[in-house]
Amino acid sequence: MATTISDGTDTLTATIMDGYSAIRAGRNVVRRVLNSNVPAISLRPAALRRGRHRLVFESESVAEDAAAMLASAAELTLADTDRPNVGMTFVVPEGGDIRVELDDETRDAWIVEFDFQETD
Amino acid sequence: MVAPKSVAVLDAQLVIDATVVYAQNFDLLAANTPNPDGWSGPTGTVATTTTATGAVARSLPNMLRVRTLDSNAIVASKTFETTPGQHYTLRLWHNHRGGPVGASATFAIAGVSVTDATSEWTEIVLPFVATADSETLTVTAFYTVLDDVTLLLTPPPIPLEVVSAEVALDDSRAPYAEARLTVHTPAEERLEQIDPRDGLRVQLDAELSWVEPAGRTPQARSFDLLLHERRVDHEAGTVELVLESDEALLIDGGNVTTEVDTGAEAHQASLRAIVDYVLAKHGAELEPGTDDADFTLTEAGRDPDALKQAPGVSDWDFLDPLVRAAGLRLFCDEQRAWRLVDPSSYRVPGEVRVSEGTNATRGEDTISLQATRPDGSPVWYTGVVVKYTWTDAAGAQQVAYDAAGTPQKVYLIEINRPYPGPGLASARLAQATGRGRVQELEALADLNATPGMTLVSTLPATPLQTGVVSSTTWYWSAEGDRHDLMAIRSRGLTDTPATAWVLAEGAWQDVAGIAWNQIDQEGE
Repeated sequence: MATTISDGTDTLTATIMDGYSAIRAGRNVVRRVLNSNVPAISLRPAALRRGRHRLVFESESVAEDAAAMLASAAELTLADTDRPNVGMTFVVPEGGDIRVELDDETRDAWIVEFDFQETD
Repeated sequence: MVAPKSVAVLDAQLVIDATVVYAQNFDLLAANTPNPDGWSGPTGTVATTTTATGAVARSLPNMLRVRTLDSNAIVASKTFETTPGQHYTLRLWHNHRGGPVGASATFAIAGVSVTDATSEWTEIVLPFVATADSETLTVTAFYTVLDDVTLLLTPPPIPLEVVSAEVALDDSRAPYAEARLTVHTPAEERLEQIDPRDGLRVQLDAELSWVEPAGRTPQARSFDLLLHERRVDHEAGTVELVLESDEALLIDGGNVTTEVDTGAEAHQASLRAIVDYVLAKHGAELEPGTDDADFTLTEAGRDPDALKQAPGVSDWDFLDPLVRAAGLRLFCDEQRAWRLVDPSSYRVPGEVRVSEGTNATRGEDTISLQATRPDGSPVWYTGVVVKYTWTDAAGAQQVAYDAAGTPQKVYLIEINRPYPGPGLASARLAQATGRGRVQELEALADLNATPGMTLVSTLPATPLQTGVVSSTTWYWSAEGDRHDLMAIRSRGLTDTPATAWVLAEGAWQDVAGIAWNQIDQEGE
């Protein structure tokens, strides 16, 4: 079981995936027609996933490396051997956060939480 | 009722003009020059210029003859300097002159080849991507002649990622077609190529298909427009492009000499010839048509300087008053076809129906005595006065007026050019007819809707209106909800009874209520 993030050169392994939530914005256009309760639909595919990842790292140095990788101007890849469907290429979008936190309970593990926008 | 479902797609690409890298028609070389200009063959073959005569001639006086001395297939070649990675197109004309039955000529360069056996002049086109500093054309043939060889640098079009777009066709303004595009900022080297000063063109390809109702014929429409403005928004990461139809070439360009251009005076008997004279400066010409006018300068009331284009006067400012004085309209459509038409009778075949309950999404119905057009002119008026002011050849200030209509609402137009004779005022007055009532409609997109088509609209609590489509604007967007829609502006609207003959679908005999011989031409 392993969750990794990679920029194509370096790969960092997280201890555990602690949180994942993703939404996809619908984009079909619903056009209201005058004097009719039936709308006209223009079909468009939904946007790609965006949401929040929460990864736990066992050491501060790996967590800081992960935060630095997330902060770089690059497209990253996330992979998880247990949950292959979560895997994606992504970027941290404008307005998104990268948050590094010392785990409150263990005072040992490091948590990196970040917003993502899937890219393809 | 099932909701209609459609899919609308707009593709945009920046077209980059081809540049000629090499051109050879062999005409400036002496006849019988062996291996001219680097065209050569291996031992036992002959590549010589030869005098083109009779049916064999393509462009006089010379061409290149490639033939073997012993009737075996031979190879002639020519090496061109190239830049690796660049796209090229080699064009040449070829006439296969013989050899054994079934013999042919094969042309090959950079892995691309064409074989041809026709014994008449045929153009060979070889598009290729250079992989080295030079590429060699090889010709395999028994006996063949070549002429008019050109090597063009043909960069592939740059695709643009459209965020949102609006494309408008409007018969009441010049340019007739205008598009505003927002695209994602491309990589830096491509961004630098998007330069309106280079006279670039953008090709827009719109497609519209329906999942429901099933079986409805998909639509497609292409727009070939001139890139006129580019604005990069570095914060949003987008580029806004303004594209226009070819009237922009005439509006921008003009007489940049110190001499008055009198060339149009040679064509004074025909406005079409005058227009063609000006369009020829931009490599264009009018589509065939019959609407024309006579501008003979000796006619009474016409200033003898009416066909002189002074230095600094743009081509459009020179032509437009003439065209309008003749009561005509000059425009270039989205496919670069120039037309000179009579706006009172010019119609595009087809009909646009905008109806509540089926495709109308928004409707506004305005009757206004104070509305103005974007250029500041009133939408509706009952009288027009045109004031021409100019300086004549003797340096004296001249003023002449042209007027038409009644004084209820007056519109004054001031023009700085010699008086071309009366007509402009009544032509402008005719334009305002039927413009007092304007419907601004928004409906589900129809790519066929074109200014000049008949418009039939039914809005809530409004008598059925028939008129003419004056402008169409289509909207697309990748994220917003103004997508797959069109706005229609009308003119010449008239209230029409629903039983009117003009609205009949199917055979005219099917119309109930009124006998056909009781209906006048307006369908009332």
